[in-house]
Amino acid sequence: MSELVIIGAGPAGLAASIAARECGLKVTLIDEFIKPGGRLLGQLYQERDGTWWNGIKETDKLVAQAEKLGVEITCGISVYHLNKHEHGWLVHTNHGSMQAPYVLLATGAAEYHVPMPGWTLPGVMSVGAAQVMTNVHRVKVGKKGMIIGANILSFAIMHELQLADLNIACMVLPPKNEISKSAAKPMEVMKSLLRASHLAPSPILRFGSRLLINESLCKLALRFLPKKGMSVWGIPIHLRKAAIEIVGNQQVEGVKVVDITMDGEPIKGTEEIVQVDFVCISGGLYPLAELAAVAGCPFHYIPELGGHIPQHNERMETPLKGLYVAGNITGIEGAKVAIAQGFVAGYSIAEHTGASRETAKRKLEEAMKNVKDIREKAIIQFYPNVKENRDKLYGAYQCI
Amino acid sequence: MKKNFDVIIIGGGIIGSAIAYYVSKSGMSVAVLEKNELASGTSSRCDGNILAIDKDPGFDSQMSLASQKLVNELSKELEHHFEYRAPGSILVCETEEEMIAAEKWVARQKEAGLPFKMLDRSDIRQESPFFADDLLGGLECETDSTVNPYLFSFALAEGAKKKGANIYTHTEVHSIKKSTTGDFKIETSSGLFTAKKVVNAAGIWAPMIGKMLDIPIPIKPRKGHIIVASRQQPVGLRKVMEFGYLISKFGGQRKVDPPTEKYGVALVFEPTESQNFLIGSSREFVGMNTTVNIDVIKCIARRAIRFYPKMADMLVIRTYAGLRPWTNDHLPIISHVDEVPGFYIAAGHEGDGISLAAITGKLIDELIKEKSHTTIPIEPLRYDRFKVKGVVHS
Repeated sequence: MSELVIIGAGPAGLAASIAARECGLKVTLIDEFIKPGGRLLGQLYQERDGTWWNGIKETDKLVAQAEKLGVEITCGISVYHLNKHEHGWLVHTNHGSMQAPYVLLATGAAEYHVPMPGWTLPGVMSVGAAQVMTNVHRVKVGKKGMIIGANILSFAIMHELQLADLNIACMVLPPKNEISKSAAKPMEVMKSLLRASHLAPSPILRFGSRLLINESLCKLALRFLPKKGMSVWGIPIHLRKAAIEIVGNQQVEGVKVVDITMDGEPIKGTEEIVQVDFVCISGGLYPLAELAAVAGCPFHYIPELGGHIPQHNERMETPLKGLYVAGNITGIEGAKVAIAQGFVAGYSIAEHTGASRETAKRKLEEAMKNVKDIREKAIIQFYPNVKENRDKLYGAYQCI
Repeated sequence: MKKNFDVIIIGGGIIGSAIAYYVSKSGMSVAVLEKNELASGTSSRCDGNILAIDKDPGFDSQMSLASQKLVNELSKELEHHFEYRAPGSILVCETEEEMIAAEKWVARQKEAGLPFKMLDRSDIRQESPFFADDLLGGLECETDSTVNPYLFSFALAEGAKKKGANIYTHTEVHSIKKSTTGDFKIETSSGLFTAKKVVNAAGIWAPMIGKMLDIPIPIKPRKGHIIVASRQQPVGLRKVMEFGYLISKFGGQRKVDPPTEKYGVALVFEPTESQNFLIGSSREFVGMNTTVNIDVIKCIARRAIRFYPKMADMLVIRTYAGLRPWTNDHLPIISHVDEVPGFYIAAGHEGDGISLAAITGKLIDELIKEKSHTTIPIEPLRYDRFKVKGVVHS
């Protein structure tokens, strides 16, 4: 019997398994997908120093390390329930139930849906699905596509699709509705992109990050955006156009786009059809926290961390004895932060069990410091003010 | 802003929404006070049937039939589509004894003029290739229909709004008093409301509202679980229940294993419009608890696989649990309360809230207008029936 069951073999789960195993714990690591790596598998981008971050290679490194230490990794298993038992936790899976005194939820994130007319046509997918098909399954999702939704995730994946030789016609905003909210307002989108402008090698965005620090300049920039959009990696980005309908008979044949006001309202008479055969919709990410909910963990709603976050502290403990969290379930950040958090969770659990207490304690402190360092240097920040919001969350934990 | 209305409805579930629709259609000024969001209680933790097949022949099934007709009209009348379909429904039998009981059931329903008929083994095969081979037969009710309960609630509430109704969500009622002028004063988390008439449509919370006026209402929460499963292949086009469901519903003895008996588990299969499907059901008295109990879910799943063996390979999307507002004679209370003139109760529909919402809305409208003649007789639904029968108020 394992002392620790880790649910999710993405960056956080893999790192945690290594840390806990290093301290001598018996660890079982399970994942729903056919192979370990989680969303790390799909990642490919260039670092500031010009080197490439290749998610598949990073996964291989972590998996090799975990296997060498004797972590039991089982893929293709999904967990459908988690409850407290007299001897700890009962993890219910489609391959029977497992018992363990410690459970780590490293379930990652899922994509927000942005519904719009025509979105059920074959050829419409979330931007994350396009990433998985391209980088993991190596399937070409179409000939020419459009990305709906301008955020850090869609920019990062747009670049990956381009590297895979897919033709992206353009990026536009989603239609204004109750779900898309500020993602459909050019001004809000512009502001959120500027916070990450070091990512986008676009003259306007880079120029912007230096100059467009106040709202009126932002507005001015939006007003004078070139008609053909601004170009990022050679792809036109239209912050003053929105998709209002995906059209096609049996499958995607095009997208009806319309010019929009500064506030996201469509301007009548400007509708046109852009011909594409696939569409990627991007609404951003939210923590995949259902198991924490069924286990009875309290939640906090923090939009800046992606939505509903299971209550936890900096040691990755939840208020439920033996239940830990790490990675995107604790708030949306990049894979490097997830790995760092995974180490924290692994050492934190080891320290709690009393296994190699001194080592675990020392390494836990190092790992906690490391999370902060990495967060500060992170190239990909999905939401603003992550640090401040985390401090708020961890501050709240003390009060329970 | 003045918050004074002819009629105030407490509860924005399917029942409150239906009442709001019919009453505002009659031209009265209406407000709905809902402590959370619309359809956030039992109405979003249920399935979506307008059934006669599981009703006691006689008054119960006649009431369902009347509601079915109204829902059919509403599907044309309301602006918003609510996935209304009327494909009929069936009950399946696993033993000879059940077949004999089913035949009696059909005979009684037919006598009452309802479109029922027996099904033999080959009919069952025809119905779905996924059924277990040993099922003996069953019965069918032709007019039974299905809706999306959530959309139905919202379609009614939107319809009511269009006719001028005001809907106040996140408005919790703290107290109700009758003033000397005969009007009701309602203190809420969103301030004071006044009304000439008040309808208590608070479902499982109806007893708490009743208590504010010293009116004991004998409704208890009866928990039920549902599994939502994902379409792989079309399993069936119609609602299916096991005959044992009737026995479970009316509290009879079944020959099943102890957990199935303990949790009141009986098969209910309901395809949604998108061909995903809902699997039920369970019945327990465990207070106001809506936490999903995995043991009950497993028991429901086992029961489903007994009738549809191949379902074992299909994917589950999610599970949920809700609370049915139960009364001891399985009939809702749709009634004026004579002790407090102007106060009405429309609650206690147990598992029939979706089925009977339309007729409930219509009846409350007729009661408020003090019509001498109602669409169906209301005697069996009166509040004072519990006193007449000497039932102790809980």
